[in-house]
Amino acid sequence: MRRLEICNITKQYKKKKILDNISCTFTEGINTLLGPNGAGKSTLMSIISTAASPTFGEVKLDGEEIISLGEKYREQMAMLFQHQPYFPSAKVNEFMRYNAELKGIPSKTIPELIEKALQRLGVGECGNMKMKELSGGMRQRIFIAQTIISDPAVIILDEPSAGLDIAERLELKGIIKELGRSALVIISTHIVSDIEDITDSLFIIEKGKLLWSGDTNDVPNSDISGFYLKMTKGEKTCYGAY
Amino acid sequence: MLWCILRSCLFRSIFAFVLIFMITFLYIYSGTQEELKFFNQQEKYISDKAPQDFFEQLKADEDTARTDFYDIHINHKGLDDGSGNNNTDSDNEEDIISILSGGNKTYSDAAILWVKLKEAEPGKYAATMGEDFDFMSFMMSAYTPYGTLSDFTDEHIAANEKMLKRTSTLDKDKIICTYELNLLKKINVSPSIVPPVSGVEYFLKRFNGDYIFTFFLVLLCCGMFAAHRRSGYINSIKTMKCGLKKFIVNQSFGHIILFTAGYCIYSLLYFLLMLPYLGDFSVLGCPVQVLPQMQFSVYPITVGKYMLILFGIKYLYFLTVTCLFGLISMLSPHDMVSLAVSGVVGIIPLIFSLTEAKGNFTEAVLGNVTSFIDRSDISVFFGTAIPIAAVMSAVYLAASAAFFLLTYICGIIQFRTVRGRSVSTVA
Repeated sequence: MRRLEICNITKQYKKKKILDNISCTFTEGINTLLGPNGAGKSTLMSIISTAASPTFGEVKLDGEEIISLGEKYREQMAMLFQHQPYFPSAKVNEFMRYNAELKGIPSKTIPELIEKALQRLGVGECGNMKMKELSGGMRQRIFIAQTIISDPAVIILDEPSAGLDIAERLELKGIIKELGRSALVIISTHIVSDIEDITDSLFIIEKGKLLWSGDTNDVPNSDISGFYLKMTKGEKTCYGAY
Repeated sequence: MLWCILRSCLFRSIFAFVLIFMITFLYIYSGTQEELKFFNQQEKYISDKAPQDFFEQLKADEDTARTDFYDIHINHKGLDDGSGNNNTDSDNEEDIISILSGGNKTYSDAAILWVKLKEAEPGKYAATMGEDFDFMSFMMSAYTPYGTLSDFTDEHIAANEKMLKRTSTLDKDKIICTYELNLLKKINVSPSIVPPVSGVEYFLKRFNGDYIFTFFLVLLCCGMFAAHRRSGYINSIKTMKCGLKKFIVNQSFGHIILFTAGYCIYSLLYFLLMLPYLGDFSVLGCPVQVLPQMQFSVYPITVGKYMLILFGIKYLYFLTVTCLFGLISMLSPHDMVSLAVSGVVGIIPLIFSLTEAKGNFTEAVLGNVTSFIDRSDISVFFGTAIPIAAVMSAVYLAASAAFFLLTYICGIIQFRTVRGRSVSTVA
């Protein structure tokens, strides 16, 4: 079983602490980072994905520090950013190929993998469409498809439901649930309904600090929403381990 | 991947290209007419020989010119044969003439030597020596198969005849005048072809002095890396296995492909725009020595090949500039910063030329690459064994490679993710 350990991560910009000594462990399945806007979720995701450097602390995959692992780590990991940049005039297939080449996938296998990934996300017919012609939901699926094209063991999704309507969110939930069966998925969100029913572990962050972490079974009455509200309003009286 | 990069930059490139080409169009057509009138009056007689035959003939004629010149001085001007026995004040001058006319130096080497000597010690050499040398130059161009300006021949003949008629003329001068007249009358005044060389000359001056294309590169390259940094795409790329390395290489090559395409189209359009002024196409097959700036060149190539060489060297020059702008884009936090810095850097050659030309803007724009290529002193430095074009190409290629390497290294250093300090350090 894959384990991603966050060990005493602190991120500081000048004197301001964005993340304050966070330690937790993500395991296979769906792990959710829940917290209000500005809590430090995206910064933590960036550090886990090696897009940003921590000021203190380290991240370990199966006991090995990820910066030392370098390409070996990046080969097993894929990240979807909250505001994923793309080439508007590029076709979906071209965009997918561009990212696949940057991921170091051998050229010969790329067309097959692109088709497979697009089919998996239910957008197989969009290959020849331009990125700018797609709806928000469709584009998000393409982004997820490019994230999973290399079949990564660690998938990091930063606010994947941003900009989607209710129907698209429901579809996305199904997709994430499926991904969680075979990989270690980390999702960050501030919308509880996006992860309710599907998340295995919950991590609540506020103002750069980890307020609570644990199994969703530890949440009383399975009311994640109410629990989250209590946690973020400072009513840290009761449940689980800090 | 490259295709994706090309597609993403295509609109920006087209916009920049159209803008720059419109400026070039205005640049070409402003002040063109007057220059053309001037050039059209200066038609030259040129050879229809193959370059190799021409080249052999050129060397033979150079020897003839040198022998005749030396002959005038030894037999008619009373100088010694260079043995050094006659230790008089004029010995120094005699030695200089020996250097200029004797030995195994090429004519262009001798010409440069003469200019350097004159500049090093102004006033040392008698004015008559300069006149003699001018006559030697004239004879040189008169003998060679690319012909001469018949007006000048007539002028020289007229001057000598006038001198002979003067009652006060000394016997010695009479001998020299008669001798020179004989030489002048040997000049072939019936050329086989009369194409307007001035058109090619004008084209090359314009083409090589054109810095406007640099600003296409400024617009093209400013966002090469800076735009990705601004949009945050660089973070996404960093998280991919070969992301950063492949991205820098592909982004650079993508822009080089676009610049190459732009340069080829630009040059072709330039050629088409200048076509009416090029004159007869047959001039492209003539030896390069027909062009005034290359008349003492030792390389047996045609005018067409010379134009292609200039095209190639200019390509390498712009390749260097592209790589430099790539580096600027890599170091800039925003594409607007990159645009500004590249713009300032791009205008430096123009300012430099302005200073060189002492404020004459047209002169500044016109004279650069051609004049640099024609720097015969550099040829002398390399002993004329290495064609200057090869030296320049090597320099530009080395500079391009260095800038590319710097961009790569700066990119890796700038965007790398480092380990956090261990927690025990905090404690």
